[in-house]
Amino acid sequence: MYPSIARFPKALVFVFGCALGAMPAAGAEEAAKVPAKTKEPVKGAIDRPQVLAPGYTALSFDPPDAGTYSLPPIAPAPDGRVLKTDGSEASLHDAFGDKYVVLSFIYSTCDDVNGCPLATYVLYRLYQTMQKNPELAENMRLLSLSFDPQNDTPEVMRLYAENFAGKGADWLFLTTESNDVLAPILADYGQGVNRVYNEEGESTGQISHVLRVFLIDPERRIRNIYSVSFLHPDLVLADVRTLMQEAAAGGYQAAAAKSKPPLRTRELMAQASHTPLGLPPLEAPEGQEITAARVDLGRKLFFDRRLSGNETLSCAMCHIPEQGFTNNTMSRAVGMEGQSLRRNTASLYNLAWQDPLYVDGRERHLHTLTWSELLDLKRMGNRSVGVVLDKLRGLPDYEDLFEDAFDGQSADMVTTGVAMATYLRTLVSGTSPFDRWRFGGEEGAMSPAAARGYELFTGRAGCASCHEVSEDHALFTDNQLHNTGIGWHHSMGKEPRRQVMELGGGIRIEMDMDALAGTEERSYNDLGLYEATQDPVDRWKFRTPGLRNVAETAPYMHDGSLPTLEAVVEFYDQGGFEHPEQDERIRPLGLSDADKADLVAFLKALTGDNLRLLEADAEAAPVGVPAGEGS
Amino acid sequence: MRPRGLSRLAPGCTRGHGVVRLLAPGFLAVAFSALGFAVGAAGPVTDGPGDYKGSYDSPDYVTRSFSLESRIGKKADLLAIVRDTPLGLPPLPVPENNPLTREKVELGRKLFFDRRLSLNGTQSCAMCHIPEQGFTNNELATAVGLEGRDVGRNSPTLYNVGYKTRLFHDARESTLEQQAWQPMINPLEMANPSIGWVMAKLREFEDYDGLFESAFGERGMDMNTVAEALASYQRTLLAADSPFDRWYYGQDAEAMSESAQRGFELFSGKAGCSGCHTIGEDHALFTDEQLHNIGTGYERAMAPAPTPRPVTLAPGVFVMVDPDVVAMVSAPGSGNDLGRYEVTGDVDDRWHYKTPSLRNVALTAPYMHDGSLLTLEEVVAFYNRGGVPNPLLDPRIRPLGLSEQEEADLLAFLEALTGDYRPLVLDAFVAPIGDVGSRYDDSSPP
Repeated sequence: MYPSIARFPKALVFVFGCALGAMPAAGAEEAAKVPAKTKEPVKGAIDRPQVLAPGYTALSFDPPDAGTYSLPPIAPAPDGRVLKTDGSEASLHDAFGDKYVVLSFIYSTCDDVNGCPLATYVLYRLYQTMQKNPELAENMRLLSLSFDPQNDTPEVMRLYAENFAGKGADWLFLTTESNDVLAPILADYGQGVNRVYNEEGESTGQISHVLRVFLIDPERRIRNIYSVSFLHPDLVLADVRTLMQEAAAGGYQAAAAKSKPPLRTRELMAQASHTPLGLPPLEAPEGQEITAARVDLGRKLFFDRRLSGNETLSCAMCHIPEQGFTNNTMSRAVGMEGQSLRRNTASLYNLAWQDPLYVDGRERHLHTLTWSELLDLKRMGNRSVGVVLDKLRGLPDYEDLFEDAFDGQSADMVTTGVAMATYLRTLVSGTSPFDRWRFGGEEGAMSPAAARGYELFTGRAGCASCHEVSEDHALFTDNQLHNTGIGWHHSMGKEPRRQVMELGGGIRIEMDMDALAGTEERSYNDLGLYEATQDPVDRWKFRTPGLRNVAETAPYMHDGSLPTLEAVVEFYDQGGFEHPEQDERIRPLGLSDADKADLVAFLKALTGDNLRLLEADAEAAPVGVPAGEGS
Repeated sequence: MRPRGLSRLAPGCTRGHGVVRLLAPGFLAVAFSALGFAVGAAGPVTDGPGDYKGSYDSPDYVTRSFSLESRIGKKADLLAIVRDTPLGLPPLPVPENNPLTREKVELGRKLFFDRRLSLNGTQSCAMCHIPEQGFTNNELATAVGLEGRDVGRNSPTLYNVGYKTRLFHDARESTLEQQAWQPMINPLEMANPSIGWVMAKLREFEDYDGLFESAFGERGMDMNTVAEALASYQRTLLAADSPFDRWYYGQDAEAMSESAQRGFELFSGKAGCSGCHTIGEDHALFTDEQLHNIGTGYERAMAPAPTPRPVTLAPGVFVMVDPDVVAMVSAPGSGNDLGRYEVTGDVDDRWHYKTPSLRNVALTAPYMHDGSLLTLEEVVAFYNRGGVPNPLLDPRIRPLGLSEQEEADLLAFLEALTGDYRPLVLDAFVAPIGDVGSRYDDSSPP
């Protein structure tokens, strides 16, 4: 025999005696008193001892702070046809209203205090909290969906809802047209129910079920499923707040990435915060703190070919990770659409300690340098700042990345530059055989030849007067600009009639330069630092490069004119190209063949121990247009 | 010596050959008389003949560049002009993250006039956007950058630039903030070695001590704040309340001549000008912010270059030179100017340039993206001819069949678009030029 409408109010009192009695008081203490009330027999009550679910009482532990954990999406929340209390039909999805939904399956005549009444009690507590908290009220919705359409008609649900009538928060009571409409919903949500029949085969009105309450996000994904033992208002609220924080942080993926950066990013950051042996501590400029989000964004920018004018070039195409973050096959770089650049691509290891930047020292900051590169029509070839920023702001795979990395700031000149600078700054490399030998006390770490080479380097050959080595670290540069004669020779010396020409990477032929007359763009002398200062004394001065990983960064000199380390040593042994403006420290050295071999052995001992790691990190970065976004 | 028919020679003349187009001396004198400027009136001057040019070859040459002695400034309350925009202009859009403040505007103006912000300390923004020359340069068809480098396009005026949503003739930039650094690091313009180099310089200049801090608080000077200050100053350069505005929006029937009124009818009717140079219900910016092909770019790119060509030696002094001789001493050209195509790479965008606003157009000669038309008469005649036919010509450009009287009426209308710009020019004169300071009347603004 089904419960009739007439007896419904009584059933309601019974079923929710516990909850309704306690709810207005709302405190956990009051809730704890509930057992006393349930013991007051109401007609029809089942007399059996009850252990109340934790949801009725105060939590025995502090709930986790919102945002300290993540709730991976479990499954899309299924849809279905439901009826509202006014009898109108709606889809369950519409009923979600793009809010954080707490969905509870109930039936109005449930008499299991740890079943539907628990769910409704917890929802009521949430309801009260929402009423006091406009942010929650605006973003949350409670849904109670009956799985007893025969008894719980829209009218029954309306009467039921009246018990919870209030203002300022959202709680909808729903039912379905029939069991046929209901069945697929229950199946989809995995909410098993069984009607209980008596021995005569008549329904007792009870429906056996397992309590399940669902937390659904505005994207209609199930994010948590609560059962009787941990359905508690405090836990639900912590979860809702966690999801709201997650949305503010750019969604689950972004929030998850934020909570734990990828391993490779953490490795880069670890190296930056505890620099390898032989390097000084790394200090990022004020306001440019190294964070995982910035490293990841910077790396993404660095490898993104879409950042060039015609979307063909990325930074990494000249600064090739597996070629020492430079290009081993070309003496001078080739830019946009094959345009010849005047200089050798600089390696990017240990840039964090470089100031000034560029071989002519014309730049002072990595974040501003980024824009020099992006806007140079011969390099990345972007016609304007806006072309780049509009692109970044429109690319879906960059959505929220800037905001996450820069405290809500979107892509602008500074944030773009700082992201790039941050990634570059993490490309530190040390702990070379030399470092272990010199700073780590490992006598056997470097060969005797290299050790002899070091003696020459710091002694007779005088290399260390510019490529400095300090007591506890070595950057192998004085960060100054000098005239060794390479630039002067190129500008002022007579060009040999026959020269080696590069046809492509590594392919060279010797040819008569007259054959090229008229086919080339006019080339201009490279005057080095003078080009920035306009001071004649600065002509042909170029920056002292660091020598770490120098064995990996051929060819050498600002113009890539020396192909091997042997050639470099030879060049300095001969005293560079002598001329009046030459740095006085460059002079013939009188090195023996053995001395030169020792020096080369030393230079080869400057290769850091993490190059493969930096390469692997770089290789994991997406190159070019993400799949499915080609145009 | 003034070559006859120079303006006919002009299109297709010299871009890409490292040479600067010159303007016919004397054209400004015509413009001035048409505008009826009172030359030599008492008080601060913004118009009329500028520096003494007595030793020039060409006695009829008139410049509007003032000597330092004749630049007597007077501060204007630029923020007040922005708050209550002049008649005919809509409210000024200001980016949320760069609200206008007096400190920013003053700092921006200082930067704008600071010649030290160029590679060799000779060139400021204001040297191509010359206040007394309509915030453009009346004397050069295409701009000349550092050490005579050919920029290739005409300097756009900065009057009412704050309303532009697309900047540069090819619309490659969208905000003044983003635009600000580009001329500074463009090797053809101010040619600084890098952004960081300029910032390092600014840090060393004692006269900037504390200025960024008072304008931007703890952000101080960075890449963004330099740009924000420059943008803020330029945004305040509002010039409207012209005779047209008073007639059309102010309902003052006497404000504009009958000829100009007839010109307006033509402008928005038979001549179809307002199809691109739009006029709204409550205000007019005279631009649709779109790009169009009217044929000037096509002609310059595709028509044979005249030989010999005029080469400017100094303003008002030029010689005719054979192109081969020019090529011997010039940097290799950057090729034809293809307009919007250079940004989009879309062949259909070749020779498309942005519709300029026409406000204050009488002040901003020469005209077109390449400065190839020297006077408004030439511009009106150009459109009356139907531009330069080419496969990508905008369909709205067609022969108009205007009579001489109608051309004159259109001209009168264009000349009625000159707004109340003098306070902006006088305010600009307050900014110190280089290390010589400035002279100005510092009585409080009206």
